[in-house]
Order: sequence, then C-alpha cells, then structure tokens
Amino acid sequence: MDEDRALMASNASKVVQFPRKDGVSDALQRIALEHGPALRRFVGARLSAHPDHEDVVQETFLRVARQEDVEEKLSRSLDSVRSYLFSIATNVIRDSYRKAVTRQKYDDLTRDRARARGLESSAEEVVSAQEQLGNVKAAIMRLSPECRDAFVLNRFGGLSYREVADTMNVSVSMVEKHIMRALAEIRRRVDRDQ
Amino acid sequence: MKARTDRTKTNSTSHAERRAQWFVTRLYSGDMTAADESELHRWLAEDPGHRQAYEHLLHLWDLSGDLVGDKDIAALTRGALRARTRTGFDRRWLGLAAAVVLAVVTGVLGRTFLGTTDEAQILETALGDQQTFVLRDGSSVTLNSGSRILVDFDSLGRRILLDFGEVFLAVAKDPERTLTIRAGDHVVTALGTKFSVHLAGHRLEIAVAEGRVAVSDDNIRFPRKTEFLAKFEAGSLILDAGSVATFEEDQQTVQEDSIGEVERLQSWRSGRVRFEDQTLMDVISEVNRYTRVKVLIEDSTIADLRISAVLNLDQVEMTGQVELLLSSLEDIHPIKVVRHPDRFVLIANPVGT
Repeated sequence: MDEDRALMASNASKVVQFPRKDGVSDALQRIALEHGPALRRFVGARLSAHPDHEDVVQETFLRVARQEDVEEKLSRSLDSVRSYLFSIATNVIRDSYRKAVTRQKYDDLTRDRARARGLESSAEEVVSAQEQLGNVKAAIMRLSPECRDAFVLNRFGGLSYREVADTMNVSVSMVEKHIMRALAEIRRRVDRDQ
Repeated sequence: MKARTDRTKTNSTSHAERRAQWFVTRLYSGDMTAADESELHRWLAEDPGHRQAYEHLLHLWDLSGDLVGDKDIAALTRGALRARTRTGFDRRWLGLAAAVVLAVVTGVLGRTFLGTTDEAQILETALGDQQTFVLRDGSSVTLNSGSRILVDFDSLGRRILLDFGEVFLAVAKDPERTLTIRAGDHVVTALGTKFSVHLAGHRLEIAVAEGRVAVSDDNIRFPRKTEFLAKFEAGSLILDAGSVATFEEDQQTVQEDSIGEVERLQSWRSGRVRFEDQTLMDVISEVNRYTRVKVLIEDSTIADLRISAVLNLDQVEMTGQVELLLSSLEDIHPIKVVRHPDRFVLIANPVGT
C-alpha cells in the first residue's frame, strides 16, 4: 500500500521531455503537466495486470504530438481533452495487445508446436469476434432511447460525460448511470450467445 | 466494510458485475482519483472473479469501438446529436458563430456567448448552478455555484471583479492586454493561462492548472502587457502551473508542484466535488456552497474526522445528492444524520450503539 503510494507519487512528479520542434513540444509539456497524472492513473487501471504502463503513456503522448490539429484539440475543455487522450491510450493498449498476440502465434508456429491448433483457434477467434461485435451492436440498438443516446454520444460522438450531460440536459451522474446500464445490457447479450 | 461482509453469497455475482461496470465507467470519466485507483486494485486482488468481470467489460468496451464506422451506429449518433441539441448544429459551428454574435445568446451546450458591447456586465449563478460564459476576447469563464463577477473589458485592459464565489478561467492570449481578476484584497494577473480563483469571506484560494499568474495586492496593476512583463518579478508572487496559493488574514501559503491538488480543487468543473482525507468541517462547509438546505455539525467531537467522499452536482436534485453523501458518511463513520425539512444536523454516533 505504502509502496503503491510512493510509486504513484513518483509517477505524478515525472515530467516528460520532448524533442523541440514546431512548437509542438510546448503543447506536449503542457498536457504532460496537466493530464500526465490522470493519464498514468488511467493506464494503471487499464493495465492492472501488466507492468509496461510508462511505455503506453509515452506512446500516447507521441501519437498526440503527431496529430495535426493538436493545439485546437488541447484548447478544449478539461474533460474533452481527457476523453480524447484516453481514447488514444486505449488504441495504444489494443495495438500492443494485438502485436503481442500475433507474436505469440508466430512463436507457436515456428516452434512447430500445435501448428494446426494455432491456425484453428485463430479462425475461431475471428468468427467469435465478429459474432461478439454483432451482439454488441444488437444490444446498443435495443437500449432505451435515453440510455442509447448517452452511450453513442460518448462512445461514437466523442463527447465527454460532461458534454453528454450538457447536451442531454441531465446530470453527469445520470450519464454515468446510463453508461453503466449500457455496459450491463451489452454484457448480457454477448453472454447469452456464448 | 461492515456492509461488505454482510452481503450474501447469492448477491455477490451481480454485485461484482455492478462494481465492474462502475469502475469501467469511472475509468473513462476523466476524473478518477488516486483513491479510486487504489480501491480498484484492492478490489481486483480480492477475488479472481472480480478481475475476470472487469477485464471482460473492458474487452466489450474496446470492442464496441470497432462499431465506429458502422452505418446504423453512425445514424444513431447523428440522430442523438440532432435530437438533443435543440437548434440542430454542432458546437464547432457555435464557436464560429460566437465571433459574429452581437447580442447575448444562450449556447447549446450551456455556454453563453457575450456580445461585443463595451459596457461592463454582471454574471452570476444561483446555488447549485454552474455556467460557462465565452467572453468576447475568446476567454471563457466558468462560474461555480453561488458566484458573481463583473466583467469590464476595454482597449486598456481586461478586468474582472470576483464579488464572491469561485470561477475557473481559460484566458485567451492577447498581444496587448493582460487579464486581471480582482478578489478581495488581491489582484491576479494572467496572460494566456488556465486557473481558478475562489473567494469565501476573507479566504482567497488560487489554483493554477496551466501557464503562470502573478498575484499582488490591490494597489498594483499592470494593464499593459509590456509593463506587466517588466514588473513581473517585482512586487508580486508568481504562481506556476500546479501551484495552489491561499491567502487568509495575514497568512499566505503556497503549495508548488501539486497538480493533483489543483485537479481536485477544480473537480467541480466536471460535475462533482471530490474530497480526499479532509476534515468533516471542511467537507461540510464545501457541501453547503451548493445547496439551500444546510448541513450543520452539532457536535465538535466529530468536526475533525478525516473524510474521503464525492459529491455529485445535480442542478435539479442537489438536496438528494447531499443526502446521498451524508448517508454514505453515516455508514463508515461514527456519525448520525438528523434530518429536518430545511437542514441536516450531524451528531456523534459512538461505535457499537
């Protein structure tokens, strides 16, 4: 516990240095300072079982730096910037996961161990992922209107909870209730078909 | 703690599921605290089933992102935006519109754009209310519950007077003019930066999220940017991003490198107020800023209890939110809440009775 705290404290005070070019680094210093702690917390919670948090944080900052309209994006309100950073971090995590899975499969194949099983399971996985996605979509389409609007505005409209709340004229805690409800319905639908 | 051990086994699956939903939802809210994070890790370590439920939901959340190019989903999203924003255009258009709007227009997303009149304007919010205004230089100011400011802009300078309450400012850069905000006996001067100022009686608190500001006493002012830069170091206190300064009577304290504390102090901007290891007295005086129904501490023995809690801000049902917070305190602290129509009274509730 105390160790965790010390670790968190040391993470929080870390300021990432970026190469100076085109004034982009200024913007990055700013986000690292303003959003670094929240991003590290987010990555820590997403990757609770894996140790490579800092790599993900750095890669997220680098991807943000490569965006063309970085200044415009960063000048938006606190929760919109966070929402944006977290979606990029999520992509980084998914990409590195996919790479790891591919590498694992490749290793299995070259070791000539369970070759057939490896191929089979990958074909199964593709089908199962597509089926799951179909179920996720079906679940979303069947949500109550309020709940569905809150979920799609956040998940596909790129609005933060606060922006969804303002748009729908409800409280932020109400938006969170809608999101939780949507997650529950998606999970129920996917589980039913497995 | 007590509630957790009392829970029956049959309940625990759906409870774990709800907790997992809650954690995933919090995770993407953008204001998860260190306390939430350690609570999550503790919960995950408690039971392998917890981790499984959590990872599964994260997987489904990620997977749903692949629907972003789906035609039906895109139509739903467009429909939701149209239906919910009464006037039917999106906020980027509003940003453009702001430049040409002369009169006061109420924005779709609760922002109000102020016109180009040279007259000073008074902006205020009722208890429990929050509002964001885009000023005509492009700066935006968000007023927290029960606050009032006077905005007075002209070619000589950008002046704001904080009468009472709390504001968050995102100051637009101006090559010529500084922006000054006067609060009590102090003047805060900024170029392009983001910070909040909270005036409560004789206590003034300034938290800087981005850039830097200068704080001086009421007599010193630098309306021109050149003057300001020349005297930046002289006679004023410089606060960098991540600093929190408080002024009370003759006392002045500055905490540097405290971006976490800045975040917490400004958490009201995202619709909730967070308390981390603060005295009950401080928590209650903060809670009282948001509601007409007041909370009183009747028993001084409980005033110093250390509290971590969250108050959700809900303009429609603020009293209910306060009641929710108080009953959660009742569960874990030796406190009893006595409910009256116009107030909540907190008294000591010795453990074991």
